[in-house]
Parts: sequence; C-alpha cells; structure tokens
Amino acid sequence: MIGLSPFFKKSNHKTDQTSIYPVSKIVNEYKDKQMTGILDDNVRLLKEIFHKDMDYSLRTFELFQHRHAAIVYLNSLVDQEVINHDVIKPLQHYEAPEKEPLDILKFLIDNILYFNDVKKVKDFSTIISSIVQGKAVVFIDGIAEALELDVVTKEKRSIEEPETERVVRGPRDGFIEHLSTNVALLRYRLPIPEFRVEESEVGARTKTKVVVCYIEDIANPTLVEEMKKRIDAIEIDGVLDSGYAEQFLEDNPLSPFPQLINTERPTKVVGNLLEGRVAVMFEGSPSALIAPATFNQFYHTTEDYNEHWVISSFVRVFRILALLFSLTFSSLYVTVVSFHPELIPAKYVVAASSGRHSIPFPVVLEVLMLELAMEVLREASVRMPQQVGGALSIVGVLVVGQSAVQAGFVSPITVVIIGMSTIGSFAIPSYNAANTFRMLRFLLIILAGTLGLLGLALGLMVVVNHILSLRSFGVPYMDPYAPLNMKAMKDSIIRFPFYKLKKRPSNIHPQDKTRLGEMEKHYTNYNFLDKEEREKI
Amino acid sequence: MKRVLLFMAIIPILMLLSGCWDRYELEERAMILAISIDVTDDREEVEKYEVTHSKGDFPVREDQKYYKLTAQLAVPGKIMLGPGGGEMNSEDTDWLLVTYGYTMKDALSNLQQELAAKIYLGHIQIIVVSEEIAKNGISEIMDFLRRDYEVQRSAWLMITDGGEAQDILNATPPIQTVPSLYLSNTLKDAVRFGKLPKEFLGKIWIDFSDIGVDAVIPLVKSMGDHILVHGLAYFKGDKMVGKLTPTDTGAILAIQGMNPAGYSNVVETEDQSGVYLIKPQRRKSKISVKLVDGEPKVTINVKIEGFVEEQNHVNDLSKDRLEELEKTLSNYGEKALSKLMKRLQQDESDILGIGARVRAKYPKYWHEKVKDDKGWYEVYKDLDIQIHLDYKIRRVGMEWK
Amino acid sequence: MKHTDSISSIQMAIIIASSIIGVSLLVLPRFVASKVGEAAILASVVGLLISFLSVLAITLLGRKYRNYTIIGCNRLILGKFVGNLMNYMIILLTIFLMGLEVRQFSEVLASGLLPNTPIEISIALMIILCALVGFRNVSTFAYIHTFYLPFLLIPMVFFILAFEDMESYHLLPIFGHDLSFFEFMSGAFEMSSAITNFFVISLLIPYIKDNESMVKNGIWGFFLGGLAILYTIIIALGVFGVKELEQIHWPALSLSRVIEIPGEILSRVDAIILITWIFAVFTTLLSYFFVIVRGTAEIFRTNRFAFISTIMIPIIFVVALIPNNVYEIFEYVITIAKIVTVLFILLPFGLIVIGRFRKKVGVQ
Repeated sequence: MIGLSPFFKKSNHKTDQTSIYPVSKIVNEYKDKQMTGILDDNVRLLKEIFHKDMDYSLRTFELFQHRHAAIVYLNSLVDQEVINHDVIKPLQHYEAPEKEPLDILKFLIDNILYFNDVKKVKDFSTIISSIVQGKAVVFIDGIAEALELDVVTKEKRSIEEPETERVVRGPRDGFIEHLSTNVALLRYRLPIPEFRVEESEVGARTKTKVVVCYIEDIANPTLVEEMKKRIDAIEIDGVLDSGYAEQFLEDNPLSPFPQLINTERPTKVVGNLLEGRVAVMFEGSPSALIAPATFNQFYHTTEDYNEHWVISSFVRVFRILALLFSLTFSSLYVTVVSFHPELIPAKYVVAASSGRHSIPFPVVLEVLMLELAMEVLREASVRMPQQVGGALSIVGVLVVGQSAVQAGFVSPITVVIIGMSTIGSFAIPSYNAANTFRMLRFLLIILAGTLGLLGLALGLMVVVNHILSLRSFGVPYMDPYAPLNMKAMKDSIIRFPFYKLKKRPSNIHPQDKTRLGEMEKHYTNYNFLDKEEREKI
Repeated sequence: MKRVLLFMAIIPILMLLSGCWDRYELEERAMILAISIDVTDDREEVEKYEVTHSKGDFPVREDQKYYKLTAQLAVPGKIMLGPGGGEMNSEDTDWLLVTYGYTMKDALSNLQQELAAKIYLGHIQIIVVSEEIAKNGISEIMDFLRRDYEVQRSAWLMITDGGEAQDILNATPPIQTVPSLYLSNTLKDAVRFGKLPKEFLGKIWIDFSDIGVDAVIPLVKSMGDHILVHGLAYFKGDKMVGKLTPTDTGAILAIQGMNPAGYSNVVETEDQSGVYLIKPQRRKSKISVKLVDGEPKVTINVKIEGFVEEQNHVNDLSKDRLEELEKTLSNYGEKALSKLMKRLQQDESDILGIGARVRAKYPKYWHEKVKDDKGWYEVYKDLDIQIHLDYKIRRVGMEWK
Repeated sequence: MKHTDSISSIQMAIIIASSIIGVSLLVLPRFVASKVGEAAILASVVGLLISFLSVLAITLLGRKYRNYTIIGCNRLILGKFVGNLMNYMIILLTIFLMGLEVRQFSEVLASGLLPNTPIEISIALMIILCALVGFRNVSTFAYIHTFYLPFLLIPMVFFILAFEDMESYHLLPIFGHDLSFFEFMSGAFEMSSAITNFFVISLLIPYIKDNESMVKNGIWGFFLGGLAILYTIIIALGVFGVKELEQIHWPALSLSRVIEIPGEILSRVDAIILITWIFAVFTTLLSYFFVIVRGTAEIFRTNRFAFISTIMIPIIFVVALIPNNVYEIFEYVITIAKIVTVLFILLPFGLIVIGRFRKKVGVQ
C-alpha cells in the first residue's frame, strides 16, 4: 500500500529544485569574501552595508582584558537584555587565563558563554544573512572567524479565540503569528515522540519559516514527501500568509474550491493529524494548512465530535441544507417566477403576481441587484471598525431592505429570499468555502435567468462535475460519496457514535488503520452500588 | 485545446445574454384561471374576428358549432399576501372577458388580440362546459386542452345543469380570493369529503380513451353568488346522456368502494315508527365479472359500515333495532342500487368500467363477441348485474339510546 | 493502461444503471404500449432479458480479455482491417445515437418547458456540457455516475404515489389482445433497443480493478436500471391505460403531473422529476460521448482527448439537427437503436467464439 503511490503528482512543476531564486544581490556580492583577522576591516565592511539603518548597532568591548572585540546586531530584532546580560557581561568579566587557549572561540563557546544557540561563522554572506535575521555576531580581533548568536525576539499577541471559527463547546485557544508558540500548542496535545515538526524555508525575500507536521506512524510517508516536495518547489518573492503558499500547493489552482483546509484552531489540526493528514504552518501566519482536503470540510466542525452523535448529525444535515440554500435558493426563485409559474401553488400565484405588479424590474435583475447590494454590505461590514460595524448591519438591512420595498424597487418576497440565502452562507463553517458558493450563486442566477429550469440544471451540473473532477493531493474531493467508500461514510453526514468509528478514513491511506481499542458500548456492571441496588437495575 | 473548448462554451453563453427567450415575468402573463364554453348562434360575433383566418376563409363544416368562450383573468395588484388586504370582494379581483370562435384555439387567439399580456393557461382551475355541448359531444374541445403543455391535468371540468356556462363564472362569493380558486376548492373538498369521485381533467381523458369505460363529470348549478354541486353527468362515449343526483352519486361511489363516504342514507323502520339518518363510514366493494354460458355475469358485493347520525320520532336504539335497520337498509339499498344500474344500462353508460374488466379478464370473449365499444353497449344493455349490499351499523354517536 | 486510474466493478454497475435511465424513459411506455397493448409489461420483461444477453456478452468478453477495450478486442481478434471496420461502425453509430438523443431531449424541452428557446441552444449547451468533462480520468467519469445515480432513483419513489390512480383493468390481460408472436417480440425488442445505452462499459474493461466480480456486478447494475424503467412503464400503463398512452407524447412527463403530494408547497412534483430527468439525460449522453471520444482516441492511438472532444461537438450538433420533425426523429432512433442492440449482442459473443477459435489469449 505504501509503495503504490496513490497520490497524484502535479505534472506541471519542476520537482528538482537547485536554484534559490531570487538571490539577494548583496549576499551574492560578498559570497566569496572571507573574514580577515583584523577587527576593523570586518566591522567596516558591515558598516558599508548597514550604515544607513537606524537599528544598526555596534558595541566594542575588550575580551580577556586585552583583546578587542565587537558585537554587531540590529537592535530592533534582538533582545537587548540577553545581549547585555548573557553575552557582553560574561565576555567582559572573564578573567584572562594564564595561557590563552588555541581555539579561543571554542573556549568561549564551551566555557564562557551561557548562550544556548551559538555557531561559528566564516564567510560574510552567512554573517550578513544572520544579522538581518536577528542574530548578533561577535568579532574578535586577530581571529578570522566570528560567533553568531541567536538573540532574536519578537513581539507577539496573546492567545485568543479565533474570530472566524467560533464554537459553543470546546477549547478556545487559537494560533498566533509566532511559529514556536503555535508548535507549542500542538506539542502539548501530542506528547509522543512520533509527532514530527520538520522545518523548511520558503519565500526568497521573506525567508519565511515553514514547518510540516505529521504523526510518523499514522501519516502515509508518500503524502509527507509530496507535501515537502511541493513546498520546496515554491518560488516566490515573499510568503506573507499561509494563503499565498496555499495557492501553490493546490492540485488544481484554477478551481475556486479550496483544496486545503485552513484553520486557526489547534484542536482541528490535531484531530486531522490523528486521522493521518499533514499540516503546514508558516511563521507570521495564524492559519495552518491541512492536506488532503475533501468536501466534508465544508460542513464539519470540531464541535461535532464534542457533542452527542445524534445532535451532531442533525446539525450537519442543517449545514448541508444551508449550503444548498445559499447556492440555489435565489436561482430557484428566479426560475419559478419568471419561467415556470405553474410550480407556484395556485393559492399564492395570484397574490405573488400582485406583489410584483409595481416592480419595474424583471426578477433576474432584481435578484442580481439585491445580491450585489448584499455583497457590498457584507464587505463593508468587514472593513468597518468595530463601533460602526455593528450598527451598519442593522442599518443596512433595515434601511436598504425596507426602504427599497417601500419605494417599490423590490418586492418583499425577494428580500426574504435573498436574506435567507445569505444567512445560509454564513452557516457554512468553512469561510473560504462559503465565499466560493456565494460566487457560484451568481453564475446560477444568470443561467437560471436566461434558460429557466434548464439553466439551473446546467449550472448545477457544471458545478457538480467540476467538484467531482477535483483531487486534493490525489484524494478525490467528493470522498466518500463519489468513490462510494462505505466505511468512511460513517463520519460524513451522519456521525456515528464513537464506538463505531474504529478505523481512520481510508481515503488518505494511513498506516495505522485502527484508532479505537476494544471497548464496551454500554456499562452494565455497577460495582459501586451495593448488591440490592444492583439487582434492581 | 481545453482553452478552445472553454471558448466554445462561452459563445453560446454570450448568445444567452442577448435573449432570454422564455422569460415572461409573472406580471407579464395574463393568468386565466377559469374558462367557460358555451355554444352560440351568434355567427356575426364569430366571424368578426380575423385572427387565424381571413373573413369567410375558415373551413366550415355543415354542423359547425360556434363557441362562446368566457375567460376569468386574475387582476394583478388587487390581492395582497399578508395583511393589508382590507375590505375586498372577490368580484373586484377578477376580470371576465368574452370571445367567440370556431374552435377553442381560434377563440383563444381572438382573446389574445384583446390582451396586452401573454395568455397563460398554466393555472386554469376550472373549465365549465355547457350542457348543450356535452350532449352533442365533448371531444372537440378536448384536443386543444390536451395538446397544450401548460394546461394541467389536475384542473376540473364541470358541466352546467341548465343555463349558460358563463353564469358559473359570474359567481362571486364574498370571499377574499379569486372566484375560480374558490370554485376549484369547492370541488376538491367535495372529493375529500366523499361527495364526488376524483374525476379531474386527466382522469376524464383517460376514461374517454379507455375502451369499456365511460366518464362522469361533475354537474354544477349557479346559485347567484356561489354554486351548487349538483351531482354527476354521465356519458356514453363523448356525449352526455344523463344526470345523477347527489344521492345517486353517493350510490355510485359506494359501488366503487370509495372512502370517505359523503352522503347519508335515510331509512325508516318497518313499523314506520322512526326515521333514521345513517352515515356510511367505510365502504368496500368488489366487482366481479364471470363468464357463464358465454355471457358475462356481473356480481357487485358492497360492504358498508356506518353509524347513526340522527334519530327522529322515537328514541329507542338497541341491538335489535340496529339489526332491523341494517336489514332494511340493505334491502332498500340493493333495490336502489339495482334501479340505478338499470337506468345506466338503459342509457348505455358504463361508468363502472365493467366493459374494461370484461375485456381485461376475458380477452378472447371480447374479441369474438364484442370487438369494440359499440358492440359492448349492446351487451351492456342486457347485462345481468347482481348487487349485494351488506350494511352494518357500528356506532350510534354520543347518545346511547 | 495506467492502473492507478481504475474503477471498481461496483462503479461499473452504477455506470450501467445510470446510463440506462435516460431520454427513453419519457417515451418508452408509449412505444411499447402502441405495439403490444396490455402485454407491455411482459414484453418489457422479455426485452430486459434480451438486453441482459448483451450485458452478459460484454462482461464475459471483458473477463477473458481484461486488458482490452472492445476496440482493442476487435483489432486483436478480427485482425486489423475487419476489426477497424467494426470500430468505425461502432463510433459512427454512437455519434448518431448521441445526436438523436440530444435532439429528443431538446424536443421535450421545446414542447413542454421552454418553448421559445431555440433548440440549437439547448442542444449545443448539452453537448458542450458533456465535452467539458475531461476524459483523461476514468475515475472522474465513474464518480459522476455514482453521484448522480441517487438523484435519478429517488424521484422514482414519487411514482408510488400514483398507485392509487392505477386501475387493474389497464394492466390486464397480461398477454394483450390477439397478439401474434411477432408483434410481441417486436415490442420486446423496442424495449431492448431503448436501454442499449450501457455498452459504454465495453470501453471501460481495462480499468476495472476487480475483474472477477465484473459479471456479477454487471448483472445487478443492469437490473437496477432496467427495473427502474420497468417500474415506470408499469405505473404509466396502470394509470393511463393503453389507449391514452397511445395519445400522450411523453407519458412519464404527464405521469409526473398527475402526482400530487399532499401539502401545498411541493404539490407539483413534476419540477423535481424534470430536473432529475435532465440529470439522467446528461449521464446517458456522457456515456455516449465517452465512447465516442475514447473510442476515437484508441482507434487513432492518441491521447489528445480534448482535441477530439472539440472536433466532435460540431459533428454531433449537425447530426442532432438532421431530422425534420418529431416523427422523423423517432424513425431514425428506432432504426439505429435496433442496429446497435443487435450489434452488441452478436459482436461480443462472436468475439469470444472467434477468439477461442483463433486461440488468441487475453494478456493477463
């Protein structure tokens, strides 16, 4: 199973990557320059590059009481406390030994510097790169090597609940921009040695740190390899957020449907890792990406596993209905009113026609106008500052809707329909999926407005066919419905009780297939009750 | 190549934008809710339209009929959903138009000339036909209704009991809705309560086409501002040959075993002391056809379960009394049903579909002796039909005695 | 033959079922009833059995030559010249079938749903929709059928509501009235030719993973689709009776108008049935198109599916517009469907026999 790679390789991407586009010009210039033993020369070189920068700092001091030394760093990135206390202080304080050690730097590293992340560096390109990454470099007169210390510090915000993924019941911590903290949030939930966090780098100028997380004995190694390969293949200037990279990691970049799950909740990541998926996290981005993704992500939330299975199943059904509503409701309305009024029950058709009597626009235009207005309103309420934003939604609905009806621009039924379909789109847990369906809605409305029922059917078929042809890292998007994977159906729309979900979903071909041990379904021995009470039960 | 494909997909879509051919907004349609068809002698009116033909060019037959078509349109803007309707009479909500024509489609084309909006037949609730047309053969009107895709099979066809069909459309009950909706609801509820068989338009067409079955069509009578459901009209082929009163309708429904039952039965005790009204509640019937000596014999077994609705002149219900009533009712019922069947046989109208059953069960006999509808009527006239009625009274209501 | 792109034989069964349920569903009751009257049910059953032979033939052939599509089989067993001749014929016939089926589809739309929309538009759009489905991936093709099949079958449940409108005298006598054996068989044959759409599986054989269960699954898939159609015929016949059926253009459509679900909003079921019928037509057309594109690709040993799809669109479009009126359409359809039915019974069996005779072994 492992050998047979079921994962689809992206055919239009170079897989062997040796160029490091784009290369920093300055780093390139100094590539072959070596350090000299003369302190002033070295320092002068650096000053040439950085002298315009406000945060360039140079601190000279004396080592062993007679050697000149200097520490160079960018003070906006480093922790000054640490430099003062743990670097300069011990170096200045140390009594010179009787005989100077041969390898001074090694001596410093082994005996003097309390620091935990120290390296020796020789060539200037590395030194320059290190300084810009927030490391401090120590030069010592007479030694043609320098010490590089990782003293970088970053501002970070506190851990809060992610705004876009709220739950009623469940932990409320979410990822922040600091990668180490994010990894920490995962680590403490998976305290096993099999949990791997592999580092990599992406983005030529942003040099963003990337980590690929997976559980070694569950995830399929081919999947992990593919993910790493694709990350390495990304050649871009800068990756500012996980979304940038997501567009390079997708199988079908032309499709509007999201092919990786993105989430800000650690519980979701851990849950997916336990099923055998692979997660990718970026420095500076609170969103983690999870692959492979399927259609199920559109209506699954972590809360479903927290609640009783009957309730969760019900709620999932409602979510799917909301999804369908948001996609088709408006176009159904257009179809029925403009093309096939025989579908309206007789009692209402006369009243409906009267309601439309004074409206100057055909239904299609009316619906499109209202939808556009809704989209603008939605966008506006996202950009608005908090204080104004809340009022805007109420004002928007009341003013726009009501006044438009009063003025005779739109009919009240249309407002209701549009409102319902918009609210339906908000019930979809996955934000980017909701966006996709909202956009597709327009396509369906236009098609329905020109061709009636046929247009609606054609539009639906185009969408469905497209979804059925999508693959996410080789896994069919409509899994488990399309390949009819009956075992995995246990956790799709209806979520079976936990004791039934013995196996992990097999579409991602995990290694360790079982996740539950042998357990009792019901408890029947009440040993804590005494004998008479036990017999009563 | 995929790009060329997409391009080709875009072109028809662009063409779509140029014309949405079938898009007629709801308010752009003239919704006809009811039609009534009468015959008229007014040749002048008919010939003055020159919509489907030039003057005098219509291929007229010898027995050509001239039709007067009355259409009831819904007036948009008068009926509101939800509050805000205010005081309204249903006569404000509809609009009656009269046209004439040589055929159905001819008349409708003439009507279209007079209307701004496109005629929409999708919501026709009722079609009223005058008795005269029914007596002379109704199939001429049917062709157009069948061929048009908008006309629903679930509409109701009605025949007026005397008078003009147009009067029915003039009925405007003081109810806040379009009259034809109210009228069609009358019929629908009548079916629900067991007062009429489920003979909507589609079923009528099926019965017309079937060999060995004849159709029944509800009969209505205008009562000023509402209508009276006056039983059924029964047909032989496509011509009306008789009427059934409501009680007869109940009897026919009993023979067909339809539930629920709509009509109560009156029975008097033997010693003429009490008069009782019994309401049947459940009915079961079995129509069996047997071939005996080369002739079909029909046996109809009807089982009715009922309860006492009203007791007059006396006040002494008991088990014996019930048995007595049951016997009386069964006998009386059998006689009444037999009489009804005889009448139908005389008029050669096979509304129970006995012919169809014979044809289904004994195809050989049918092909040799009967061959078609006409032959069947001959046999039907003298058919031996035995009716057995078994009436059981189960309950007596809230009063014990 | 890439074996990473494979489908299971259950999916093959589903493809058979959903291909069978197509345009013919709408007219079939009338066809058969006009020919044989009340014996329509029996005739349909016999017709099912005749088509069943075809399913058997194809699956047995597939089990023996499990790496060859029928195109390959033809070439292998009958030799290059005769084999290719048969292949061209198959493709040509399928092109005609598809064109006529699209035409029938737009005719229904033009008469009953969207009268003013030019049929060229609906024909073109339907063909293009089929072409937009890429044919590189057989599994996508299987997924499409798998996904749509429940939508095709569920509305058939609605037909149960018409039970109360059925009359027993419409369905009897079972053997019809005075039918000669020839008439009966020709009615049965009409039924077979209407459900001949499943021959698409003859091009899927190399991709089927579990070849051993192919015959078994093919059988139940076929019966699933066939019984659905039989069910529709029975109900249509029961509700309308023979004489009325002869009059109605599209009985199944009228049937859906008869059904009323109690409760106001959904009282008109025919919209739902119409949409699902559009899906059904799509899956059938997709199967045809699959045969055309992949078959042509295999004959010319090329991989450029998109190119072939694009070329085929105008060809099928032209074919669809050949008949002049509704009666001509049916004449053409009947003739060609009959040829195809016979072909796909005789050809696979013939291939098996000749293959054994010529001792050609299918590569394992």
